[in-house]
Amino acid sequence: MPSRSELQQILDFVSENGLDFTFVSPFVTDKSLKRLELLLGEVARSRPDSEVVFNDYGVLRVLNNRYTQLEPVMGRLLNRMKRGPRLMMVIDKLPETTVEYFRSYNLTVPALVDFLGEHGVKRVELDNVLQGIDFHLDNLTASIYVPFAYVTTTRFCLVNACDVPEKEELIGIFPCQRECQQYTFYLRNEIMPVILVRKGNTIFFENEALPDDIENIGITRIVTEPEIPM
Amino acid sequence: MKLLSPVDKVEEVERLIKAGADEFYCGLLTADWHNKYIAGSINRRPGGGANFTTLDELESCIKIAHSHSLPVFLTLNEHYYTPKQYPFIMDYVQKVVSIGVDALMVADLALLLTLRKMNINVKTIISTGGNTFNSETAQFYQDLGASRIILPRHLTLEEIGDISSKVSGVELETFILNSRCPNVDGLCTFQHGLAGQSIKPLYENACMLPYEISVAVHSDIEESQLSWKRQHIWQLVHVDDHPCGACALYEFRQMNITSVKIVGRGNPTARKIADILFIRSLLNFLEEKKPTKEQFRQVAQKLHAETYGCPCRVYLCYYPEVLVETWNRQFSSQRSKT
Repeated sequence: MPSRSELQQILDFVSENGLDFTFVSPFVTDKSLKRLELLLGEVARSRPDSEVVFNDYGVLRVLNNRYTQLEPVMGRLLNRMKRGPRLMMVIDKLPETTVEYFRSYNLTVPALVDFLGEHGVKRVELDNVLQGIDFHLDNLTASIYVPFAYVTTTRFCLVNACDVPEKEELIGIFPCQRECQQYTFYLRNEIMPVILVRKGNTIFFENEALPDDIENIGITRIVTEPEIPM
Repeated sequence: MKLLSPVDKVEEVERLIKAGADEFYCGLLTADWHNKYIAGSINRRPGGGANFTTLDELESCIKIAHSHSLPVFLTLNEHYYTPKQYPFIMDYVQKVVSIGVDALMVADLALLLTLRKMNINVKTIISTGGNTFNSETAQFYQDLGASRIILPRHLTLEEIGDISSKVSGVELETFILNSRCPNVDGLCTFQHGLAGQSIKPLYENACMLPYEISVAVHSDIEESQLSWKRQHIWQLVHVDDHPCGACALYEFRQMNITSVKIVGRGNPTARKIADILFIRSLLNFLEEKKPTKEQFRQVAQKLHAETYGCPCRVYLCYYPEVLVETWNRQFSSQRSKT
């Protein structure tokens, strides 16, 4: 999360340049939620017309209860379509019903559509999965991230203390020293058709090829990532 | 504090009860689902061996457990189900509720909302896949009728304490043994196995595969060698070689955690029994002898070594801040003696 002064700089920049603003928030513990609320307060004061991407239902609850002026957007971590690239090695051999499952998601289940509507959510975020997307959104619009698709994340960050010999086997939740600013790891296995990229505590793969029918899906925004998001 | 045990065979139920289980959780994977969806799991365990395969088996398990006044919870905890799957899912839910399942463990918000909308008369437990990292999320699920929340693995004891101190009226459950996933379960989009055991690279969890690792250009060659070496630990963290959080039972008791979960659907019965006996012994010790934290840690670590034939390993510790605390104390003590 940015510091308050970093956030203020960004808010000043977007205002001076007449830009819209979306604040992306992570999943948070209680401690981090306190910090996040301070930031949400700044955003609500400076740019009440902003979007806030939530990747944690607790954050949605906070937005609905205390920051109703901000527009909530359901983040890509809450979209749990399977993204493991190994799927592409077997997809041609799977039953049609299984392939359909992997290309679909729950965003058209009526109870969920109603819930999101009642809680002010009009936009959801998607990743550019390798197997393709095969659903059509009603009452929602979507953003798609390109080219880095998120696969998995951890709080047991392997990049943490990766250059400290005595901590080689110490895997847990320890204070972040931002080693990921220096190291990026590439993971290869012949069963994976693409290279996995570990930046910090998250693994991504790269997919630049957009789905053919983004309008039919309901995608109205492309979020470009000039570098691996960390 | 209760002890939640996995179960997947009717013939093991009585033995697990005798060993000391207080509650059971299980899966039901029928042939009609498996044939249609194969690698698309109904409950995070797509393979055979980890699930009951017929409604009759599940019903038999429930009857035995209920004869001992013990509940059985059913996992319906895949991260999402598609609209086309809902007719099957709702029929499945009606059937399992009619034979006496005490609660459904769910992770999909759409399913939770659908169950509420249809007034299905069964308790809901929020799986670890619900990603309850903070008390607001706990209250989010509580607002939607959840009776229990299983907290994610990736929380420190302090963070668990924060949630438990701010939430009331909903039960909290934590992990205690086995399968210490390297990634956040509820945010992981790798598939759990895409083929049978004969095709190992597709069968194994993606997090346990051996990867060739390279690192992006940086300035210090020596540091990069260390960093490469550390990345391979990822394959070991999940290894089902008894990842354990038993030392934390001390803190969990103080936090009023309702239940601790042994992971292990699909494990041999003997292994399940050993796991239950281990945790049950420690729970009894806590209740009866009221040890200090240090006394409890010593007994837990000794019993772990006796039960599993190996000492505690920090990379397999669910709450490694506990081990680090012990080691730091031992190291300081040794240093002061010299």
